[in-house]
Amino acid sequence: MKLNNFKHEVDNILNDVKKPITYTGNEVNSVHKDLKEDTIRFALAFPDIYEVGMSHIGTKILYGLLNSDEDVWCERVFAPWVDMEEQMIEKGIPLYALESMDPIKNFDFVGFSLQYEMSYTNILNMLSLSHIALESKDRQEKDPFIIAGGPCTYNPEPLADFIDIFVIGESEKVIPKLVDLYKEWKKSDQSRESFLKEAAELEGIYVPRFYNVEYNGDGTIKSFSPSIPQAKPVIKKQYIDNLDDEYYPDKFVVPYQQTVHDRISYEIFRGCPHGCRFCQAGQIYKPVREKSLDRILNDIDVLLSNTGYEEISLASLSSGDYSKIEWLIRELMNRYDKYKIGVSLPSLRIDSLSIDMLKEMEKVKRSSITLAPEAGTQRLRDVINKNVTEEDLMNTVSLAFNEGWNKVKLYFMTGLPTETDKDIEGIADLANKVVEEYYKVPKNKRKRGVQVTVSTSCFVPKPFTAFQWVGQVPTEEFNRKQRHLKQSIKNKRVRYNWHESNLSYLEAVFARGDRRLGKVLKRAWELGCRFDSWNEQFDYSKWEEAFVDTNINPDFYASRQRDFSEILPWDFIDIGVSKDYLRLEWEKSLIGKTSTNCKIGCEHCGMMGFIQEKNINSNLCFNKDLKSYGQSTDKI
Amino acid sequence: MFSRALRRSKLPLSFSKGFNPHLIMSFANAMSVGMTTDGDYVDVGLDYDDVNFVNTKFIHKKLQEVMPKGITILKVEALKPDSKSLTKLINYADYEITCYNMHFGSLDILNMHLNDFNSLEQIEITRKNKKGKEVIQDIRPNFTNVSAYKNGKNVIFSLRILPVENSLIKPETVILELLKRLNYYGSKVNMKTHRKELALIEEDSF
Repeated sequence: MKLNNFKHEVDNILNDVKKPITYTGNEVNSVHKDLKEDTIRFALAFPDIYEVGMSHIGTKILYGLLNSDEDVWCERVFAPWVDMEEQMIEKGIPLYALESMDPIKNFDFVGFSLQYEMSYTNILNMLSLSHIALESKDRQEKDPFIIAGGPCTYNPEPLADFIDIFVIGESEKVIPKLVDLYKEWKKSDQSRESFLKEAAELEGIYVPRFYNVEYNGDGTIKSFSPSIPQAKPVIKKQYIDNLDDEYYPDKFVVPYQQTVHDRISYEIFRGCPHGCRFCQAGQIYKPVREKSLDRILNDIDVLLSNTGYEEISLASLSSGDYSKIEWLIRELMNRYDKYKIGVSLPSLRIDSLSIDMLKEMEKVKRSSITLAPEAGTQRLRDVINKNVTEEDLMNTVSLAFNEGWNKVKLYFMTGLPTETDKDIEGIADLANKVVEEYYKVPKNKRKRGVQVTVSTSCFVPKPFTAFQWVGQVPTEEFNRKQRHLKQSIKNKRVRYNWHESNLSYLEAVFARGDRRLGKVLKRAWELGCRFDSWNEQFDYSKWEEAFVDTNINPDFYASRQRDFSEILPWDFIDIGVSKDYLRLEWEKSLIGKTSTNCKIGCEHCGMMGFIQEKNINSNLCFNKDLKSYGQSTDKI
Repeated sequence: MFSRALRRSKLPLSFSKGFNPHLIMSFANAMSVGMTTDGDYVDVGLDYDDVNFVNTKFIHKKLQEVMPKGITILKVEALKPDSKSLTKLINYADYEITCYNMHFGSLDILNMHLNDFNSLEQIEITRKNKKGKEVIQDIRPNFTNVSAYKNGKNVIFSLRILPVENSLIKPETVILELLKRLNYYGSKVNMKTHRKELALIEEDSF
C-alpha cells in the first residue's frame, strides 16, 4: 500500500531537536523496498529512544527475519524524545516509520517489544502519537493490529486493554506464522475480529479480549478462562529448538548516532544453566541452547564485513558458560586482532576463568571490572542460590588486581527475602575486603589507588521465579536499608550508588499486576507520564495521583505476600518450568539450601517433560556438549 | 559513520600506534550537527608498500560502494605520507546560513546594516575557551564580508570564513554576533547552515 509520507514536514522540524539523525533513518543496511499493492507493512516499535532500541538484539533479529519475506516490509519506529514529540504534536506529524517515513497508523502490524515494565507508558504515548486508538476495543477495521512480544509478555495482563495480540515465547518462532495467517485473512473479506479468533488458535498467541477474569471479594483472581472455543486455556511458550538452524541477521543497521551498545552483539547461546532464584530470565529462557562454533564464527565474519563495526560482543545471559568460550575468544582474537577489532563479554560470573578471558580480550583498554555478588553474606547468597562464595570473589578480584585492574564495581540487591541488617552490613564488609585485597598486591604491580563502587538495586519479585509469591519490601524500608548501608560503609575507597526505590515499587506493581492495572497506566499517561525509566522524566507524584484516581491500591500488587493456592495473573502461561518446582525452590531458599545448575545435575524443573512432549528424540534440555564441560569450570 | 564505512571497504587501512589504536583519518573541518555540505575533504591513511600499487580509481570505487545513500565520493587523490594535514591546508570555507521567519524590513535596510557591519575594523566577542573561562576575541580577521538575500520570510546570509592560526570559527558565531548588534533578539532564531565550498591551498600530489 502506498502512503503519503511526512519526509518534508519532518525535515522542517529537525533543526529544533537535539538528535535529528535519530529521526531520519537511511542508515547503511536499513531495508527499503518497492511497494506492491499487497505488501504487508510491519512496524517494529521499540518503546524507548533510538539509542536504546537500536541496541536491542531481538529487534535486529525480527527486522531481518521479517524483511527476508518479500511480501513484507518491516520498518523501525522508536519513541521520539520529548523535544521531538513536542514538535510532532505542534506540527501535526503522526508517528512514522523510519525507513519510509509513512505514518504507522496505516500499517498492517505494529509490534512492540516489551523489555521492561517502566516502558509501558511509552507504548500508550506512541499509540497516541500515531493517532491509533489506545484501547484494543476502540480500534476500527482498518487500524493496524497491535502486537507485543519480549520478556515482559510472560505476564501480559497489565497491557491487556491496549494490545490486540501477545506473542508468548521467542517471537522468531511465532511471528512468521502469524504473518502467514494474515496473508490468507487479507485475501478473504473477513472482519478484524475473525483474524483475532484465528490468531488465538496459533501456538504461543494470546489474545486478551477472548478471556474472562472473575475476582474474589479480596481482589484476588477467582477464575481466568477463555470466552471462545478458539482461545486456549493454557498458552505454551514457543521457543527455537536449534539455534543453528535458525535465522540470524547477516547485517545490522549501522547507526550514524552512537547507541548504548554500539557494536555487533552476537548471541552465542540462549538460556542460562544457573538457577538464581530471583532471576526471571533464567527460567523463561530455558532450555540452554548453544550455537555451534562454526555458525558463530561464520556469522560474525559476515556481520563484520557488512557493518564495519570495530567491536564484537558475545551476548547471552552468562557468556562465560559457553562450552567452548576460551576457544572462541582465542579464535576471534587470532582472526581480527590485526584489524583492531575488539571482543567483549557483557555478562561474566565471578570466577577466575573470567579474568583470564578478560585479560586476553581487553588488553589495557578498560580499567574497571564489574562483578555481581548480589548479596552481602553467604547465608543470603545461598537463599537466592547465587552459588558464589566470598572466596570466589576474593580470588577473582585478587587476580584482577594482579593483572593491573584497579577499579571494581560490585552489584547487590537489597530487600531480598529474609534479608536482615546483618546482610546489609555484609555488603560493606565485602567491599572493605575487596579494598584490602588490593593492598595485598605487591606495591610495584599496583596502579595509583583502588576504587570500589557498590551499587544496590531494590529487589523486584518477578513472575516465574521462586520469589513470585513474596511481598516486596516497602519503599521506606528500602530507603532505611540504603541509609544503613551508607552509614556502614566507612572506607574512603568505597563509593556507593543506589537505585530509586519508588521506581522499583512501580516495577513490582506492574511485573505481577493484572488487567485491572490498565486503568492506572492510561491515567498515568493522561497525567503526562512517559519515559519513566529516565530520571529526568520520572515523576512519582503523578503515579500516586493515577492510583488514587482509579481507586487502585498498588500495595495489593507490590507488597502483598500471595498464598500458594492463589490464581496468579500469569498462571495461564506454561513456560515449561512447573509451579511445584518454583515452590520447592522457595522452600529451599528459606532454609538456605542451594540447588545445582543444569550443567551438573537436574533439579527436575519440568523443562525436560516440556521438551519431550514436542520431540521424543530429545532426552536432554541442553546441548550434550555442555555436560562434559560442566565439572571443569564450575566449583560449586 | 565514516570509519565504519572505511572498514566495510576492506581497503588496507592504517592504524595509529599505542594502547588504543584507531584508524588514521581526519576531516579538514568536521561538520557540526545539522549542517549540510556540498563538498568536504578527509585524509585517510592506507598501508601500501609501494606507491606504484596505489590505484586511486579502485579506491574511489571501493569507497563509493560502502558509503551511505546520499554521500558521493567526488575524487580520490594519493598524497605523500609527509604532506601537511588538511586542517593546515584550508584556504577558506564558504557558507550559506538560512535564518527562518525573520522580521527585517526591506532588503535595502538589511544591506545598509550589513555594510556597517562589514566595515567594522574590529568585532570583539566574548566566548568561553576550552577551560570554560570567558575570553574576548576579535573575529573580524576570521571572515570576509557578509552578504544577504531574502527568500520570502527567510533571510539567507553568505559569508566566507578564513583560517586564523589554522583554526576556523563557526559561521553561526558571525551571524549571531551580527543579529545581536542589530538588536535582533526576536524569539529563538532558527538557522540552517550549509557549506558551499571548502577550498584548499593546492598541494603536490603524486
